[in-house]
Amino acid sequence: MALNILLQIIQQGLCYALVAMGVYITYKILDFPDLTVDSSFPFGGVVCISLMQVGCPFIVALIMAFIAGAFAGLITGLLHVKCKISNLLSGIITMTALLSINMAIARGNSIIPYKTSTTLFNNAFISLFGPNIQLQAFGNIIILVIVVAAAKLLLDLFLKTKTGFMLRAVGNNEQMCTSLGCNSGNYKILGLVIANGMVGLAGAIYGQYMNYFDNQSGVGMVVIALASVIIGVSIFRSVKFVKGTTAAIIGALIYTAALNVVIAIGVPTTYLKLLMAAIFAIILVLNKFVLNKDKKLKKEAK
Amino acid sequence: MSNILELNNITKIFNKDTVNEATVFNNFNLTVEEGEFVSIVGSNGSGKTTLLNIISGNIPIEYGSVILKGNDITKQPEYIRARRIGRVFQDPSKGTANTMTIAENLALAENKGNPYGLSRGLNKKKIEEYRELVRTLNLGLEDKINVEVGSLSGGQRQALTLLMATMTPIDLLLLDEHTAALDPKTSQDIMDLTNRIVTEKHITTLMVTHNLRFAVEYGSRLMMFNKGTAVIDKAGEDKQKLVVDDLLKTFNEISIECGN
Repeated sequence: MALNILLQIIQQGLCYALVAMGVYITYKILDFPDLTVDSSFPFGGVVCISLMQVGCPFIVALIMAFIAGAFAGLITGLLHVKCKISNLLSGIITMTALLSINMAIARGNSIIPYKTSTTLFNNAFISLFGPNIQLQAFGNIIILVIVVAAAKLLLDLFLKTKTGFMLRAVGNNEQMCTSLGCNSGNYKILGLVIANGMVGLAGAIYGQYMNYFDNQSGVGMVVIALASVIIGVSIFRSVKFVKGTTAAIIGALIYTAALNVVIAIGVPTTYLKLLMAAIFAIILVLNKFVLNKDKKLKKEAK
Repeated sequence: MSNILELNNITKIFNKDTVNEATVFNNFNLTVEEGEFVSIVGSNGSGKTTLLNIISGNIPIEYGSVILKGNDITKQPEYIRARRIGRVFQDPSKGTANTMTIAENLALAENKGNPYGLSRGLNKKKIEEYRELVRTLNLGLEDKINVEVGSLSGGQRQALTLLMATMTPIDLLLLDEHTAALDPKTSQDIMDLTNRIVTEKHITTLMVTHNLRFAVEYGSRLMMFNKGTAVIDKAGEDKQKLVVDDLLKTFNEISIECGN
């Protein structure tokens, strides 16, 4: 029982880790609270399953899910940068519009099951682990670790390039970006595109993991991702060598664990979203409290 | 000598067509020759900072044209102009990215004017190069090359900003009260550093300052602004003869006129 929960936490947590890394870019680097995430997650999911239903290989479907998410980010970015709509509202507009798009692609179905076809979690590699569900879960975790690690390394590499530097500078100091001869708006759009691309990919992988697409799967995704990033970043605040991406991944695992533990204790799943919000609120308060304490200590030390 | 900067018939009206309409410049003209170091003084609201904003493209103008090195840049957005114009603000946090290290900030500045591609932003060799570069500032920054800029003092950040603004070849340097937020000693240090960099690199410079002594002691030309016009504009020997008292006298006359 406990092992099952642990395995579930790790698998779910790793899926959310991809979302958390995306949100790390928008929220932490660009200082952009991006609500698009709630819809770009199922958008990736529905694009992926729809393509696979018409015979598209799952790898290609995953790439297309990334592109779909990236497109959602592009729309939010254009609304914000070119149409001068505030960051929150731009996200809300895209998020709401995508709800219909997702439904349309799903032809009105709010849940679509994956028919037996090869997926990230149903393939020759996983069958090596035999029919035992727990052993299969280990196989799933190995695959998810590889995907998450690859995404993290790519993102870390990107953040070390000149473009990555400028992206960080934009979130930090827009005037500096302008002073260096760059259009800060384009960098914001780029950040949103990459972030939502990762979220779209996460949605597709999550769908393959659950073995069905659920149009509701994105509800509360912003909260999950923000909570993960904030947990991760505050835990490793004083540790220099831990990168933000690593912090986001660990934060996602911790938050998923907290959710699953509360459910396991016996709280009905009806209250899942209430729990998500409550835990998020507690994290924010704790974060503030701990942060202030830190500052106090520093002052006293001086 | 050729003109590096020409402002022709500039008219700038704030809050146009509202009750708060305020004309800062009306048919204003200014030419700056190559290599000039112009100090600009004037009371609050005289248009000094607005002038720099107009040149940098930070605010639009109603009429007139801005010519930089023979090119009409009136229609260019700020970020395009910035490739040939360096600027240092009063607020030390405006010129640097505070969650990035000194080396990372310098790497960004060095690439100004070129596309920011997917090549690596920094390597060991570059870091050592930047270490030697900041050593010239004599602020001990060479030991903090991998430290986040946010932990530096205002003076150190302003010195770094100056270095970054002049790292690539530029046609014009705009200094917007860049020593005003610093203590007197640091302020003097930054002014000396400014003078050294500007002289060494022969950069045409416009410096807005509230420090009359800096305006008199540094630079090759001095202008005093009042209500969008230059009431004093002296260069060469005339400028050499100016003393702080002369400026203060004119300053007071203007203030009395304005009823302050």
